[in-house]
Amino acid sequence: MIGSYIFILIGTLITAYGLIQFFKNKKTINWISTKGVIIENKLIRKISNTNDDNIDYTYECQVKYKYKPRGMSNEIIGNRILPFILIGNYKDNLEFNKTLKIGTELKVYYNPKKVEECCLIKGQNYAYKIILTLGFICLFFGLIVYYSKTKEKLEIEILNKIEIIE
Amino acid sequence: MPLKFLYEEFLNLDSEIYWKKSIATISDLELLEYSGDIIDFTYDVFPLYKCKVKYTFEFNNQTYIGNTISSETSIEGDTINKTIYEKLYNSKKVIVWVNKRNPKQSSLTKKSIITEQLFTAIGILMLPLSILNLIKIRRKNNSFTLINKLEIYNDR
Repeated sequence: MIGSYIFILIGTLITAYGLIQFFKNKKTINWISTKGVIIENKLIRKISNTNDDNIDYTYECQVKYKYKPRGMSNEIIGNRILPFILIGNYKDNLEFNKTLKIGTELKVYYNPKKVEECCLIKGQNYAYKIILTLGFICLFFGLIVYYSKTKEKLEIEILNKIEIIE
Repeated sequence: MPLKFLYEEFLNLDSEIYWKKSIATISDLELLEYSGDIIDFTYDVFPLYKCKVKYTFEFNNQTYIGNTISSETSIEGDTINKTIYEKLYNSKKVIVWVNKRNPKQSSLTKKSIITEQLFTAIGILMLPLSILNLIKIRRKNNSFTLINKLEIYNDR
């Protein structure tokens, strides 16, 4: 029973997080664009797994770009490629590293209400779909365990269901 | 299999969820006590029980006879039969659930709608769909698709 509660709780939290990301992602549709310039581009290599024979690495493309929101005199530095959630795939990071060279001028999207919130690709934050799918799987598994009954429980339920009138 | 379960439980009009409530009169009640299989030691030592009930009810101006306590699980032999017998012993009238399409089918208890089987059936259907969905999401959003979404003014 405790196991089912844990799964339901984790599933609910993951689903809730996915929904927050979904709505945040939806909001980025209204973000406005301006011209920005890439000022930094690094491919960070991190050790993910080590064993006797080999070492596994993960790569992360870290970019910095500057942009000037409309009607403002000072420049802001942003570092998000996608809004809110970063993607961790090696190929993605390598491709971004190759494409986003220093000095590249490109469109930057920013939140007009909170100009420091920015990204380079809007409305494409697919990560929430993965989070929601995982959340639903976890939630369903918890519900299956929660509703699974032992024979004794089912028998007591049957007994309680019998309604006597007279 | 999950589709068959969902059809049988929810779409089939003979399913218990569509059964109607009626009032039945208990006409016969008996508790059978018998010894179990000799191979099974516990059942040989402890007796098995079977609560035999017969009830009559009227449905659409016709009288029907029924004898089902529950179709949810087999309770034959279990000690719960003794408790059910004790509950029904001093009762005359009880609620009965009747299949309105075939009133010969009836039961003293109605199946639960939200069950482990329901979630298992939906889960079995959803799991491969979710995995396919994850693959589809990943394929649709590969690195080249994302790179193409960048709007670059000066390609360096």
